[in-house]
Amino acid sequence: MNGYTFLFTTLYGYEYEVGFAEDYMLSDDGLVFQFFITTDECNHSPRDGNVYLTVVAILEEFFKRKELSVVYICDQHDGRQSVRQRLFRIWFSNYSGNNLYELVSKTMTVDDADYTVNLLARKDSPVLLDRKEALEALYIRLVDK
Amino acid sequence: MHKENFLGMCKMYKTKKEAQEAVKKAVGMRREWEDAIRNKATREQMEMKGMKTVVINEH
Repeated sequence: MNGYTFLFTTLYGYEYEVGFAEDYMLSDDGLVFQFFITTDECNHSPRDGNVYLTVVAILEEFFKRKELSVVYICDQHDGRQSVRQRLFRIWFSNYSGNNLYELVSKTMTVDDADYTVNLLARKDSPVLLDRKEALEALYIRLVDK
Repeated sequence: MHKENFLGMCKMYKTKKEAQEAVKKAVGMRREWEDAIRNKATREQMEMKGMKTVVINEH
């Protein structure tokens, strides 16, 4: 399993780590990465727009390779699934370059747990259609009786 | 377990159970990374697991 993270410290002194880990849920070609943002559990940092700007800059760098895709999974293990999902959606809709990207979200249930799987890829990605089909196929398989 | 695919091929799962396992595996992997970071795993420990870190604004 391979991946990398970007660690940054805000002006308020809080550390955030943005990660990309190779993921094989939608493809085996090594071009899909699971995205995550981690911070200290005790982080009660004030609202800081620079966090958003930094995360966007990291994602823009990541997407310089247009064939790459990101999967961002919001799960309910700590009760903050809906908060994360809403924030992710808000960030995407506020991003000035969002017309260049496609965001597809599917909520799935596995063993009574809900997961919202977000697929983010460039619209000009040569494999966008395949990624969307894979996500749809996964969703359909999970709702099988 | 599933159709092996190459660049541009859509990954399919034959059964619901396989699809469930794939989701759980992906979620589990992410939690493992997050826990390692929160538990202050050293950079060396992270690299041994395959995760490299770039520090953006080190002072």
